[in-house]
Amino acid sequence: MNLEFLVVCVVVGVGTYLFRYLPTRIGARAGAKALSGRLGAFLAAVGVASVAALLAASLEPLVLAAVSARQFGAAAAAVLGLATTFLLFRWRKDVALATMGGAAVYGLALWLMP
Amino acid sequence: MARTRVGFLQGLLGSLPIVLAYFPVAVSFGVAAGKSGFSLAEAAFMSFIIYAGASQFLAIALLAGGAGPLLAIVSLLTLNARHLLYAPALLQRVRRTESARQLKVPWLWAHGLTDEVFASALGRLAMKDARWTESWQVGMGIGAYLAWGSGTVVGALLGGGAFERWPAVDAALGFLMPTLFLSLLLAMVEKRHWPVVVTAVAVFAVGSALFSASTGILLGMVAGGLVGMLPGPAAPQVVEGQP
Repeated sequence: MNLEFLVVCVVVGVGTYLFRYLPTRIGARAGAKALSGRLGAFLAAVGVASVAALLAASLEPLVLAAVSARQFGAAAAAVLGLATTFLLFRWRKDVALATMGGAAVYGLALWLMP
Repeated sequence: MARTRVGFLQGLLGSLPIVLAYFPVAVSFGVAAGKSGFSLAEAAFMSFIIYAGASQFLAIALLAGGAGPLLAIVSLLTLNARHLLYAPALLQRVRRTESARQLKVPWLWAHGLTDEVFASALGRLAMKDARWTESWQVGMGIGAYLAWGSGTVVGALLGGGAFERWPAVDAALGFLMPTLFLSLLLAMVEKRHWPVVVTAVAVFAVGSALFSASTGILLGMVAGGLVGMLPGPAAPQVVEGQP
């Protein structure tokens, strides 16, 4: 475990703990008031935006491989996997099931492809 | 009328749905960390000390992508700052109930106040016998915390190359991140969030092409957050349904 990794984890861990703990000390009403409005809207939207950006980043290597190296098999398997995730989530509203199901279909599709 | 007990054990038992949801997602995190070159000890350390799912995935993307520690710290804290919203929202409701009293151990249960634990506590307060105790909150938090930590350890073991002899399984494990992020996005997103999503993805694509993937993630995150501040469709949302 290198020092840089350790410092990032400890600082973010302590900071996150304080985000959760400090508002219990300042009173419910004061805390809610301070975090309403634009700051609250920004903090709430950052969560959605970060997951959207992470999804795009996780798919980027597959898209680049399909475009530059013409690896269409992996791209087709990815489309199948993501479609499975989408349908499973619409059906059961279960993050774990949709995640595992989509990944399993991707792995199987890639394995079965000639 | 007999009153329902709302103690540590009830909290621990009440955490079961979260345990079942957290464990496989934590396994995905462990696998992703292992495949990004992090050791089992590093993945477990991160899960136990940071204990915030989305930011942990962002952390491995940033650190494995070569982002500097200061940039990583600022972006991860920005993402986790939404947790500031939870305790005020929870305590506002607690103080409306007859079980409201001076808090004794908020330092203990605050660490476990994740998105789902917060949502479960609100659910408890919405019940007919709306009682809430700190020991119930501690039980709920410990169940979820242990599921997240143990799932990470299992995932890091699997992600360390244990399935390389089974290519279908290995490929499926490698695809857990896209399917996880898509599932989380589907769980979080509402119609009014689409401008935030489209902005984040578009700015990521430009940032990644011009600079690097980790810079693209950061730019997309901030741009999406700024769009969320605009008046109109992308109004604030407190419960986001992610680990």
